[in-house]
Amino acid sequence: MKSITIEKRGKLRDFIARRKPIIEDWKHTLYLWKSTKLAMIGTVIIVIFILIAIFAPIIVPYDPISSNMSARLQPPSWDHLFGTDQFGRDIFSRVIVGSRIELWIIFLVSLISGGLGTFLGVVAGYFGKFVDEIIMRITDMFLAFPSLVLAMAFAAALGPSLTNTIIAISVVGWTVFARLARAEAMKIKKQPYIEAIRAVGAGNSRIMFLHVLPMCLSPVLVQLTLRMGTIILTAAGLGFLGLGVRPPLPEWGSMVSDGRSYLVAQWWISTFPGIAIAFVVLGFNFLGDGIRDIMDPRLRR
Amino acid sequence: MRKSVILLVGAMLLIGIVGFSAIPKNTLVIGANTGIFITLDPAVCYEVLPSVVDMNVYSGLFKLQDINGTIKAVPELAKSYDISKDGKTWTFHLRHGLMFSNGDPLTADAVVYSYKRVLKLHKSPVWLYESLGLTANNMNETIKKIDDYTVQIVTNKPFAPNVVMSILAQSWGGIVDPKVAEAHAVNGDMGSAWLTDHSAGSGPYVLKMWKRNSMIVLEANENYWKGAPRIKRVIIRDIPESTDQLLLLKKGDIDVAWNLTPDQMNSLKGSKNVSIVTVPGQSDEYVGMNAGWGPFKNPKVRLAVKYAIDYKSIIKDVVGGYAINNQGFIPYGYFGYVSKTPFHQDIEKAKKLMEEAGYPNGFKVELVTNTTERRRSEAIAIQANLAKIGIKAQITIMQASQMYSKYRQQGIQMIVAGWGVDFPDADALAKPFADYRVKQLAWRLMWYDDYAADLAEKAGFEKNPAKREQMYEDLTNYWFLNGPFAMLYQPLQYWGVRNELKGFKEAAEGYGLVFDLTKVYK
Amino acid sequence: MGRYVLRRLLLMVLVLFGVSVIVFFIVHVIPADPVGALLGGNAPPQLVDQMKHQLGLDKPIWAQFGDYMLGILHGNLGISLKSNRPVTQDIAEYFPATLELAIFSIIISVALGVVLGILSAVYRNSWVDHFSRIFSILGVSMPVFWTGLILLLIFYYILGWLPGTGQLSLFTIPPHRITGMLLLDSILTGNWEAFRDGLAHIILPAAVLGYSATASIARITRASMLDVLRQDFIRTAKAKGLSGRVVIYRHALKNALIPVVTLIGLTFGSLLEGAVLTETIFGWPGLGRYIVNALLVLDYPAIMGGTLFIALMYSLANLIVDLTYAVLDPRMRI
Repeated sequence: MKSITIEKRGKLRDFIARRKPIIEDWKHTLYLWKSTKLAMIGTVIIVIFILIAIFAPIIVPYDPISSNMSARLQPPSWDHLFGTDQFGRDIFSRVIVGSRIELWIIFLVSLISGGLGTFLGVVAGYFGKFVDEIIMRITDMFLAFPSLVLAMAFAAALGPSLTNTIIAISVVGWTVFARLARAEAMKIKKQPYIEAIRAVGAGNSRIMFLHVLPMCLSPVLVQLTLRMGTIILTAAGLGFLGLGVRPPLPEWGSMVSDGRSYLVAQWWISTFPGIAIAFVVLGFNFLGDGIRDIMDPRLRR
Repeated sequence: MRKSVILLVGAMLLIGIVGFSAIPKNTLVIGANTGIFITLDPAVCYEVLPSVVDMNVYSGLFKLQDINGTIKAVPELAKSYDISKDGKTWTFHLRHGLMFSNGDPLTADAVVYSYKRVLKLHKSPVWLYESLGLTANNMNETIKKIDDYTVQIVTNKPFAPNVVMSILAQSWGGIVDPKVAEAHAVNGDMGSAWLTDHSAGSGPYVLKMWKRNSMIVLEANENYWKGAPRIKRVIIRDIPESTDQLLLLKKGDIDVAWNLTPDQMNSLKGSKNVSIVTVPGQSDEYVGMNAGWGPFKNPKVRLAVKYAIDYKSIIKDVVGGYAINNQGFIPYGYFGYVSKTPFHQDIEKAKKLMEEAGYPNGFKVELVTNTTERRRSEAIAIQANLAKIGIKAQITIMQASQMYSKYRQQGIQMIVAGWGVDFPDADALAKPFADYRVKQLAWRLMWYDDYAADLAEKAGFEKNPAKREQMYEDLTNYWFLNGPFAMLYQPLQYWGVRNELKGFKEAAEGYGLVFDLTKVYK
Repeated sequence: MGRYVLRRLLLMVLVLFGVSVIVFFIVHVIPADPVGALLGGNAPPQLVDQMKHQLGLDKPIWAQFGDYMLGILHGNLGISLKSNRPVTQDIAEYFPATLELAIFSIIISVALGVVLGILSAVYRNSWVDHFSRIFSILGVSMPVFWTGLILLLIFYYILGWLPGTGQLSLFTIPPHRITGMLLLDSILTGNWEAFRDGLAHIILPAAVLGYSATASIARITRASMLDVLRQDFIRTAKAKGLSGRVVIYRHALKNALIPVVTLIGLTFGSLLEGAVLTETIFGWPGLGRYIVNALLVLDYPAIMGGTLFIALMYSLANLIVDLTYAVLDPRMRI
């Protein structure tokens, strides 16, 4: 037992020593990040968004779900900061609670589509040849699909609900990650150290998942950040077509689309959730854009 | 840089010159969502809005008319009719000198051709003919030309005259010019493909053009036997978004907005240029409970639901007051209408009923409805009502195609939906809502109640009006207590109409079954 | 080059085959009843069954799949359940409107994106840069149906500068149909009234759609401009004493725009997507609305045909872009 711990500790030290250049690199990145205004603004927006989502139950002044017909269609006031909707529900409360749903959608879709895409991409890139050929052709097929139509068909097939919205968006989104991870994996597998590990006797799956996969993650993560905005918009599009989440869940996209018939007389119903979407998507886009600036050595300077 | 600025300004000027011309006096422009338009062939067309077009393009032997709030079939192309003593053989006498819009004479041959055409094509409206006993197999015996101005049909049962006439009076009873239809026939389709977007009728208008997802243009039929209509051109513009319809209406780019939401309608109140026109709708809006599913098997639970729903608030808030508080299935203005409204929200009573039924803590149920905004809103309101007696309803929004598939397989636990009247007679409602044997609503909700089914059937054949009325009243009372439906309301149909347009209310009276464009003028 | 093109074409066929298989099974997995929906809620079950039989929808799914694939081989996408016409005919009617909208949107997004990109690069890290980047990113950050409605509210309803929905004003006589693209047909037939009116109608939807695709083009332009501006020949040009403006427009821009070309193919794809929503808001009679309407009633042949066609357009656009790129940059040829 003891020897294992010592061995582990040794390994940890080794690990840190080996990663030193990487850590240095991270420090440099942090510096660049601080000097990239867009990324800063983006991060601040997203942090606010996450904080709101975490503290939503404390912030909300009203029940976001139950309707109160006597208070319907009230314009913004100090009682109802964002006004009330056609069921008399406080829009401010709904937007706040909605942040949790958006966060959940973003998190799950990123996990599923990022995970699936990276896995397939790494497998394709690592094995090459006909495995690569098959996986990439499948990727091409999904890429050529109009993704909203695909998501619509999936959402229709599975029935509208939060889970199904997430599945539909994930099925549509994984291709980009597969392409990225594949390109990365192809580069990495040619590196001498991979050859060395193979010489030591490591199996394919071990090399693939322990050595190639981790190295593919950073471009995938950057792309994920950029895609997070799109996820909310796709969810909103599905809501517009009546295929979003189950009512009365306060998902922002369906709030915008359900409130759109009130745009002329009661503008606040769809405008505030619309602003919330724009705000968060803007945050992710700023962050993604900034990160790309940082990653792109030509633009550093 | 300077060049591009000049270009930009130039482009803006160019576009700015485009005048937004007002609608001419002899033209009516309607803004509507025409996404549901499938065909304008009268033998195939079945949806409400498309059949408005057909009703004004084709004439039938009879015509539905709103007479003091009651919709009746009156002779149109037929000048008179006789019914045999057994009540099964009908003889129609046509007017003389009738002609189609292109000048072809309209005679008994055309009538026989048109009726047989519906049976042969066998599309959506055919079941109404078949319900009279007219089928593709027996049509040579049951639909006959006696002479150029006389047609005879034989039904299989002695139906109430109003039923037969009402069925023939609707868009699927429209008379098609056989010459034109056959001239455009492809693979024996009797011209159906061509008639999808052309017309060959004798009504007040002619279908000039249908550019899909864009517009439908009707032009006055100068040969119309009652004289050409006052409005010479009717354009139905496809405007899918209700908000767009509202904007265009307020700007005067359309005369009529067809699909506004109740709250949009109420926002028009007090407008100088636009009026609100309402007429009682020919449909019912209901909550259905599957009597073969779990807790709903118990009539007490169904009754509890009926007492849990806040009808007043739904009518006032969800549909903005555009509804009649009708809790029976027979619409306002119909023979057999029951004005009693026994239900109102009474949570104490509902809770007690739930307790007696053995569900003091409620239960979970899936509440299904379709994607339209109105239904979604109703579902949300009902969900909130049910929560008060412990019923946790989970709303599932389905596209119509999925909803009907599940519904027809008796697979829905609870539903919010509507039922459009097929012909203006109590029978058209009593059967679907109470007689499971016709395999419509009562069957879909597994309410296998023989007492109600027998009563609905008998009332359909009852010749004595007083007795018949009593039967419908008995049925309704029984249905209130035992039926699987909570009737939410009877909708009011409503339109936003520019003030320049006159006669719109008269034209729209009876909408759903009737819409007479000839009554509109500017 | 010839072999490269051949290989790409073969791959495209393969991809399209895959797309049709996927879409077939997705739509047939949906537990729904398109016939029942088309017949209306009141129709009795016997009639629904009869109609299904007529349309061959009661056959086992494999037989239906066989029929469908056989049809595609003959260029036959089946008959739409809803319009009762061949799907190919429907697509021919609706696609030109979408294509025209997409082309205008591309023009707008490229013009806007390139201008913003250049401004960003030239005034790097100044407020101009920040403003133009925020402005372009804002475009991808709002749901298009919402932007569409708000712009309609402002420019049509409040200001009255632009006409409302649709392709043409009601009383403008449309041009004779040649290509189906309204503006092109107006030019071909010399119908200037229709041209002006059509132009006024296309501005808002094209702007909404184009704006949503501006950010990526602005980004690429900015990056490659920055890249080019640092190259030796630019320094030489500046050293020769040419003014900043001439350097930027004559020398730098030409070289910076090559990467933008590659982006157009991808943008085209995303525009076809956005069209699904934009066309509904602006009452635009295009393929996007056709597919949405088909999805609402589950018109199988129309959904499958429409999707396959969009996939084909997307693949073609990318093929053309790749070929253009291969011509521009010989290293790409393999």
